[in-house]
Amino acid sequence: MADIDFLNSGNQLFRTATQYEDVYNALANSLGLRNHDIFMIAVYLGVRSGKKESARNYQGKEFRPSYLSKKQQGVLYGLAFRDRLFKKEADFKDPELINDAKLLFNEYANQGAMIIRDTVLNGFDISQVGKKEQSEVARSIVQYLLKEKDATPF
Amino acid sequence: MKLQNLKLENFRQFYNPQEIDFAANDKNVTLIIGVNGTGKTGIFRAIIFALYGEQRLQQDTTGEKVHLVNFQKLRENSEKPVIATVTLQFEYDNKQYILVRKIAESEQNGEIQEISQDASLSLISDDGETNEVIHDANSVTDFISQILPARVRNFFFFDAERLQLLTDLSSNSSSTNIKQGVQDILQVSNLQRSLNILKRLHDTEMRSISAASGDPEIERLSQQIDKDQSRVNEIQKENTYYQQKVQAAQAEIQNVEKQLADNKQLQQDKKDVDAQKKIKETADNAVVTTLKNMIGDIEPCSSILARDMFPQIMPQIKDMREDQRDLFSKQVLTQSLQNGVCMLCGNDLGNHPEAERHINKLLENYQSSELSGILDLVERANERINEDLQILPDKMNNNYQSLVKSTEEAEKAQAIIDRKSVSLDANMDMARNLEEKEHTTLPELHATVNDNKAKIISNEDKLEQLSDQINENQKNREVKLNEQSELTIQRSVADKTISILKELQTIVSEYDDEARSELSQQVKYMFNQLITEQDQNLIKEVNISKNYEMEILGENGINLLNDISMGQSQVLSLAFIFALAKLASKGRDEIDFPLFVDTPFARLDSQIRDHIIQKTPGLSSQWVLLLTDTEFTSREKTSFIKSNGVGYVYKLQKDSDGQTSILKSTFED
Repeated sequence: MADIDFLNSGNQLFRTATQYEDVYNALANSLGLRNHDIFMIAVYLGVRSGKKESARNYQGKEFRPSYLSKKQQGVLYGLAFRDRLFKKEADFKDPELINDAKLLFNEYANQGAMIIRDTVLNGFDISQVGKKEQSEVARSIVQYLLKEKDATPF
Repeated sequence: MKLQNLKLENFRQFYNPQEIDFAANDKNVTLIIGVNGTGKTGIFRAIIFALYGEQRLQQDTTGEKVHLVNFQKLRENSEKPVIATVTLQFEYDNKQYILVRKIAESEQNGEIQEISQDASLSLISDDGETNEVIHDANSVTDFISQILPARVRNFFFFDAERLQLLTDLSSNSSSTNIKQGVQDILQVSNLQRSLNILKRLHDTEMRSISAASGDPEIERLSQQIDKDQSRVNEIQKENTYYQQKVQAAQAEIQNVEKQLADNKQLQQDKKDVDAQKKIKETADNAVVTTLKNMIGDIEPCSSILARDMFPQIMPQIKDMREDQRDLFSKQVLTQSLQNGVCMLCGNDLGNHPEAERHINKLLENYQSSELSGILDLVERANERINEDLQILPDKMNNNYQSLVKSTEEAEKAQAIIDRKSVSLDANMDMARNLEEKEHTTLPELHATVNDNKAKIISNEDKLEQLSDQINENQKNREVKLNEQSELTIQRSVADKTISILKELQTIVSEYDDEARSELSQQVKYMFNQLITEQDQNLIKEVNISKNYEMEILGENGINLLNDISMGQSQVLSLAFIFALAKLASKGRDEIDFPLFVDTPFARLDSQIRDHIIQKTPGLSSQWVLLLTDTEFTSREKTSFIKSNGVGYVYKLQKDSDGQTSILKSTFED
């Protein structure tokens, strides 16, 4: 892959927003999902909602984007195109734009994490969610996804 | 028999000397009232101890030894003997008696030991002098047992809450004691004894005649008859013994079978729990598998939600590719060569070598921008999401339904396991114990019943043979005796005896029939006297069989013994006791026993209580009631006042632990 493929670069590191770390913990502890998958699920939900959410601190979970699957990377690049952040090849080499892109992805993920907290994990004591709640959390998230699949997007 | 006075010293809860006068004649009811723990049963115990020297009552269920000496007195006199004394004054057969029974106990290192028991009976002469007539405990007990045999005393001295007279009188009961007791009270047993005495007299007379005859053949026949008769007695004893063994084994079989019936439920519970554990295990496994699948699909399924962004991007991607002159990706060329078919025109490269050459040329000259790889990623992401859209929602939905179903199954199974495990865990030892009983004890008991029944049948055959042999020998002896004219007088005496014997047999049989018939009618009459109006037609018929087993038939001809309420059962027991006392006392005042009842009303509703309070004084010579406070409310008090039968009222007052005073009282107190 070309040098411009920054998502596949071993030097990049993603840090999620501090305030949504509980959502990452809850899904990791109950469902055993990895941080980058949780991040992507949150991105998908954020994109679906059509909203982004800024955050003050990004001292939450960290992961290397090179762990993302090709599909996940394709979705993130597509998002950067759609939101007109990248328009040409040179943009991919601009560190400022790359940081803007990472912030964009995080803001969609923030929105998604907020949705997860308010819907999927609503009714759970989020700080206590663990393996014991696996089945309930799985059912809750699947119920949400199946409902949202048929709903009209933003 | 009339109770006159009871004195207690150092006995049970009664630290200080206490005394009770028993009411008699027109006002023949004595009420002794006390809350639980004040010593009502202590008074009951004192009466039984005085009469029979017994320390335990029928209602003492634990195997613990019962101590009769006041605990506080024992503590105060540690390691020294303390004597508890019960003095009972009573009237019997128009004579006044004073019975004194003592027990000495001591406490050493917290253990109470019985040291000795003693009793004496004195007769009070007409001029008031007291003369000791019996000086030892056993003889006193024997004397009292002649007046009121121990096996019938429970008819007159009882705890109404534990009265099981009707159970013992039913045909299912193996208890012969109570049935024999009824025959004793009705004098049937005495008549049977008279018959036996006459029979033995006749045997003695015949032996004497045989000896006087001097005929060796007559002597031989007589000896043979005696020998056979003695053998008959032995065999009859054996059969009684075998019969008792059969009854005991049958009672045990009944007991084991009942336990096994309960165990069947237990076994069924165990099977159910095992089955539910399997169901739960399967459901749990299904949950684990489904969850694994579901969790794996969560990310791809979520990505479907982002699919709507691609239609906006794809034209942009196309434009960017054109800008890059990347009309098709390099992969299209490599893939065409690999597959042997051109992915753009569909030509088979094997048949069209010029096409293959063209593709190789294109590949050599292919110039892609770095951006192409990024664009490829976006396009493939779009393709992948579209592919997932076709499959994943349905798959996810199915998994979701399956997870819900499996979870519910597992929860349902766990609920059954939890519910059944409570009783199962607690009874596991019993279940194992009963398994042992089912496979070992029960077959042994059945074998015991069969063996003993076979022995009885075999003995009955022997008895028949012996009876024939005795009859034959008696006939032969008769013929031989007829040849000896000098024995005519002795023989006419023996003939007279045998004719009296036959006459008495008829009388006994008729008396027995009549006694049972009268008892049946009296039970029904007394029951209707005692019971409330709505239950007057409860009993249609009372039958008492030759074995003195009682059957109570209702309107529909069904035996009611197991179907009546506890209260009705208690009334029926009282009716039986009154009927028995009435028949027994016919022409024999001395058999008119007092009725001494602990907790008499516990099982009775207020209407039945009223009836019993009104009727009992007229049906019994003396009625002593040990009542708890809940049995003596204002309703009962009013009823007793109305009955005008109460002679004395006593209240038990607990002064401190182990110290109760018996206070003479009135209805007004």
